[in-house]
Amino acid sequence: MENANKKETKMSSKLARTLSRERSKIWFMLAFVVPALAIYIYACVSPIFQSIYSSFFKWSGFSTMRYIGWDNYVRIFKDPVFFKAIKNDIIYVLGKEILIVPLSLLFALAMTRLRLKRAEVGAYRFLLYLPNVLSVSIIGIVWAFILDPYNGILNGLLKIIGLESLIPANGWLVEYTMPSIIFVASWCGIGYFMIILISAINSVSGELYEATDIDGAGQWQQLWYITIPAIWEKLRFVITNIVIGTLGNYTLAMLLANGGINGSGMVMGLYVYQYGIDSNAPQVGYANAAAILLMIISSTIILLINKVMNREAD
Amino acid sequence: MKKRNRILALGLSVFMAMSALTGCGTTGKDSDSGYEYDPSADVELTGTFELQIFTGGYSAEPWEEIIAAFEEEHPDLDVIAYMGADVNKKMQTRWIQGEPADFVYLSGANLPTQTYMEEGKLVDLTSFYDKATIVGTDELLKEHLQSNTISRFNEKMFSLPITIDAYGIWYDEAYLNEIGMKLPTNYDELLAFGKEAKSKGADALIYPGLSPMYLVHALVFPACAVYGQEFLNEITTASSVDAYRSKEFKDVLGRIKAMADAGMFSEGTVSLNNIQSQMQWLAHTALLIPNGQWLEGEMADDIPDGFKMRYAVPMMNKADEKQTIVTTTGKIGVASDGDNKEAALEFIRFMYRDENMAKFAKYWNVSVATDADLSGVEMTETAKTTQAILVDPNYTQVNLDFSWGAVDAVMCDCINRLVLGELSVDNMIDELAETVEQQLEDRK
Repeated sequence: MENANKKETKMSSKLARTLSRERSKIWFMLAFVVPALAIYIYACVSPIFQSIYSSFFKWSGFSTMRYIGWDNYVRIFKDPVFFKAIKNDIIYVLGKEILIVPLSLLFALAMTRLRLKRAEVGAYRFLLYLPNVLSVSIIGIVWAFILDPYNGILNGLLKIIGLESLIPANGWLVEYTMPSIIFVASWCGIGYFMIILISAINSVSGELYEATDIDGAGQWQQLWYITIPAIWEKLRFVITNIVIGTLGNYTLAMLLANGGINGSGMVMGLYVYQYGIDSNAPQVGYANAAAILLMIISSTIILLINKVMNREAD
Repeated sequence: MKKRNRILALGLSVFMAMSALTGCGTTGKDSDSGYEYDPSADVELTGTFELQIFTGGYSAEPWEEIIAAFEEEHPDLDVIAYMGADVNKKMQTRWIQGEPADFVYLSGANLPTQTYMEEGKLVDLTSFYDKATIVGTDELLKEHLQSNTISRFNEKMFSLPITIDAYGIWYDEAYLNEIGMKLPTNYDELLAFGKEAKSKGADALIYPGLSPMYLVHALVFPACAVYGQEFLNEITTASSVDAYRSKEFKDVLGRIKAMADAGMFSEGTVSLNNIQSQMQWLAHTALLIPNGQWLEGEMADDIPDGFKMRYAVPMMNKADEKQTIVTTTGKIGVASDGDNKEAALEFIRFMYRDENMAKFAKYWNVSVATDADLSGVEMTETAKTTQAILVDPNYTQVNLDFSWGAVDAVMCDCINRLVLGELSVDNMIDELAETVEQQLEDRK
């Protein structure tokens, strides 16, 4: 009996020490997590709830709010420009995926698999990454002049090579608004994703390529059966990142075409901005309602893409 | 352990929800625009006096000189002037927080003046206008200001005028002489001018499609003004759906459409910003450009040799109609939530001194809204032309009272589509009238 009691006492003090260590660990982690979490909730999460709340009010942003129920949402669904913005955002995402993913992969493969000299690789990397160090305002101004219908470099080049018939009469940013925006945005993004894929390709074991070389596999077979499966997680990251970075982003759309003619260049982020901030009569409540819908639509698209890609990975 | 984790998770959720509720406390602040000015009060100016001044088109020089002179007279006052092309955007959060600058120059983008007036963010200056005198004189402000430049909103005066300018049609006199073309003086001649320009391989008109308000100010409003001040007011204040659906407005839009159908607008103009369009005009891509009186100053460094920049009143009147000049006034206001309204009002009294108003005329080449003697002021040829037109009885002068809110964005989009041939006059009227209707409903 005494032994049993002694054993029990030994076990409970051991348990007590374990629990005490666990408690210390938790307090230690909380000490680091809670302040950051508090700032995150205040700066990022709380405004979301405030937006949801104010979306049920008529509010200019300056004076007190007036409750109007679902009126803002009803008005949004009656506005054809909003649906154009959704359509354009989907086209924007698809366009960027089609341009950025293959091109950044192509350039990454060229940097890693073509056995270029180190200096050459460095130079190409610098040139392709350059758009990422320029401010978006500068990029917008530069491309507005490149696409200028009168003296733009693009039209000048097309004239020199005898393709003048391709030049649109009213300018690229009027007749091909979304394609122009997609092209410029993709030009900006290729360098960044190329760097990510370079590091992914470099982490693939060289022995795999040597083994397939011996088996007589060609470059395309190596790409399809070794490289892409090996860097699939990174490719998923690139694809998802493009979606997240595009939905809600409006800076280039605003700088290049400011929404375009009849909403031809309108995207959801710009729709929210123009009603909420850049207006002679700001309607913050209405803009917040549009922002909430933007959040729901963006989340749905991202969840769907993740689901499809998870299935593919399986 | 599971129970503790559940408690932790629940606690975090509650904390998140509560923090959201504290966020909901920021719901805006109502302001009181009422202000009874007492001219006999002995005002001692101390503390900080803040000014918000847009300097995107016109230069900052007159403001800098006037502020420096004011600071000299009030050494105990800490004067802080926020100036720049994007000052209105930068200061917007301060207006939202209820801590705006005390004095504001009501010009430039990102300044929702109408909203400020509707929500009492600007002081009602009616009693100040009635009772204040110019600093150093016994002259009442209301006797010093030109009465046709005063504007009211809901029967209150939320702003005071300082300058008068007018959008016009700019041209290179030397180039027109060189190619043997005569400037049109009415709408019919303008259409003929367009045909002649085409035959000589030039475009008649260019404008910044990314800022189509230039075209609206220089062509649409003068065409509306042909039908009188009251009609123009109904359009520019969006106070009447009937005005938008009237045959007069249909005629106005029809004149623009006819110009577009005749190919008078340069191809590609719709995709240009203001600088691009102005540079193309300087390069003679097009012969005429609608613009404000700041054009001369804004492009001073880019005017080629031999270029004679001249200003003309928009010629949207038909041959049997009087040519109309639509004037706009540069306005100033005082923020209701400003901390130093007294300093702002003293500054305004100081600003209206003749030598200070002359600075606007000198640096901006515009007329001023007071009876200040500008005969000694050095002004450009174009400025003298405008001055002469303002007192010429052969022109009808109509003042623009501009507060049409959300109609602005719709008009800008529609005018571009009309120019491109993508929108008919009837459909444009429908879109504008629906916007006016919705806005009038929202204002109730």
